[in-house]
Amino acid sequence: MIVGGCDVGSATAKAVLMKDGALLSHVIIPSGTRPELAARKAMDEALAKAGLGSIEAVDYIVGTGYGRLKIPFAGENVSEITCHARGAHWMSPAVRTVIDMGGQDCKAISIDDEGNVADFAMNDRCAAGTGRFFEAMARVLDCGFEGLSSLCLQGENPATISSQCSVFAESEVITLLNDGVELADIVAGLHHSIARRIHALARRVGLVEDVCLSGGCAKNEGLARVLEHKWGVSVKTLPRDPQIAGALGAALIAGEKSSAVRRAS
Amino acid sequence: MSTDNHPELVRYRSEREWFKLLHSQVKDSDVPEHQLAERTLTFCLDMYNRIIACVEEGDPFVATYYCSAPELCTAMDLPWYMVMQTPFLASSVPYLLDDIDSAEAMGLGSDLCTAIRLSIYYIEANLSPIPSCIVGLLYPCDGAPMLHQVIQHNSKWRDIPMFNADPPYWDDDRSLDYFAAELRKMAQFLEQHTGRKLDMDKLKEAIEESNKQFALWQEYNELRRAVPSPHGWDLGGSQCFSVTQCYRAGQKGGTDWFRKLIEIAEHKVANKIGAVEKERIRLFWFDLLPFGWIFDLLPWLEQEWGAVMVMDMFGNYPYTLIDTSSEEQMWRDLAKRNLFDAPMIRQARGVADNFVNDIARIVKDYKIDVVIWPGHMGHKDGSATIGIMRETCRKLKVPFMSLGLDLFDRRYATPDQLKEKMSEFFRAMGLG
Repeated sequence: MIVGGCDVGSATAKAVLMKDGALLSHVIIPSGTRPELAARKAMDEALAKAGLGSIEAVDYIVGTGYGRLKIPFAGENVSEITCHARGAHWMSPAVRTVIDMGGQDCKAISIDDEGNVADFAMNDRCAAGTGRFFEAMARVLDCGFEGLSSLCLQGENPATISSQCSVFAESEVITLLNDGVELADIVAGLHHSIARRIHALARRVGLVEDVCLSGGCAKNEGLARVLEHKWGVSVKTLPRDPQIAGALGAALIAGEKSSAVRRAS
Repeated sequence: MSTDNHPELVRYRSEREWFKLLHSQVKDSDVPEHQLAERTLTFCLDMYNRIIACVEEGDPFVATYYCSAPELCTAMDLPWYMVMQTPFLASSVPYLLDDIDSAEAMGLGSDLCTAIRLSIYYIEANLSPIPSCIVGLLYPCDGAPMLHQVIQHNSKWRDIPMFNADPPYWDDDRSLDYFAAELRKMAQFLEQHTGRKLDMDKLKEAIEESNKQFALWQEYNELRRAVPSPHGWDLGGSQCFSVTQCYRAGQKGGTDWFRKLIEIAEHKVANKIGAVEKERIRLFWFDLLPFGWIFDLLPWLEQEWGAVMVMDMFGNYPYTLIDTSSEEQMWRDLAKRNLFDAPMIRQARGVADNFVNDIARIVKDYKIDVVIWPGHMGHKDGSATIGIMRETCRKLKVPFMSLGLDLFDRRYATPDQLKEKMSEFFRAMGLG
């Protein structure tokens, strides 16, 4: 049985294909301006990578993410919170707290031992703690999104950045640059500032180990280390690309739904 | 006497007209729930008529809060109204937002509980009937004493005698005796300022009647345990509470009302007729209902999600039946009912265990799928226990949701925002 998950987020679209519970292929592409086109492109690429000729080869597809209502080939759509929980749990069954840091929101998800959502807290009102924040800072610091992580790890004396708002933090960063503060220390300070925000979110659901990050920002190792330092617990690295957790969860749910339909018939 | 001589009755009369209109719409209905509503509205109109007549004729009447042993007023044949009632009435909805703005323009802080803010405004704007005396309330929140302070500084109200029963901190025997003595003082106060005498036989009679009402309420709540639940948000807790507190405390009419309510629910349970066609989510709403904009949210919950409010804070019946075998015991049990058992008072005055125990019992008894703490902006004391409630729900393996709203002001968190938030939550939790 081949099933698929498609997660159309604000920054990237992800498609995952699974066969009999095993990962077949996955793809991550920019979302662009048309979610339905991004979803189609991501799925076509995933099909090609899996060596499948057409979407007809897939038994069932579940959509998720901000653009989930615009995925024309999805049989149904499921909340990305549920999908990230399921995806992260599949990748690492000991995980009980998932911090999903996406392009435009950030969520702390508490999950039970079966990967179901027990509780969640969400910041979808501002850019703090999201990919957009890091993108804005990378632009100001001219270091690229990927450069943030390594700079953060180099920072020995993190600068004090009191603001978590991307607009005000940018002003602070410019002031610090003009004051001659080391770039690595500024970047580390930014990560500490965001860690405070994530900490507040995680406290709302309770921080239970294992803890992992998912979403695009989960690839920022510097952030994981700062969070570990703040929490005093290890932040686990997911064994697969953390950015596909949502699409993977959607595919897992598609598998369950498809099996249930088969059993019923 | 004309209304012009009693400007404080202008709003009160318009509220009565609104209820009259509502009454006219249900009085000939064949629908059992409407027939019950007709009785409730008759009680309500009776209260309005009695208070208005007292003002016009100069007869004594009392302004009280809730859970101020209303059986005392029944026994003394004293009309009473709840000084904070207006914001909770459906009739107030057309004025509510303007009233909130007027209260704010008066300088009342927007962080103050809107129920208190509005009540202060109604006193200051001369929109509440001026009583012979006031039975105040020093619990469950700090807001109520603020209203007392306003009363004491208002030129029309400041000379009205006020009694505030002093609530003990603990729930032990000594505390119970202390509060029973406070209630006796309250009775003396009412005698002194209304000219009515308390006949202990009549008090016993009223309490025995209210015992019947609370026993029937318990029976009704047993019926709400059924799947599907026979009633949702629109019939149950709020009406039961109003009948026992505002309209017919310890009066036979109220007892008959409960019998009718049970008859309706029994029929629905026997025939497996639920509040909605397909009940998909059974929810516990752990606070007051959003009275200021109730129709903007609660019907949607039922229609969109099949989410039935099986229980709410004020529908939850933990009231002790009062032992009337001796006068002393009667006062003690009356104290217990009004201080230790009363909703919101029990939780907010007491220890956090009361929140936890209520959740645990209701989740289990009513097969609850989700606990919703509305997070009314004024209920800061309750919101301080969100973490504990969340932990409790996690142990019970039932989702817990804290919303953050104003029960009276739909602008604080708009119905659309709340719908989005709730939908997201239900979806994420796999509910419905």
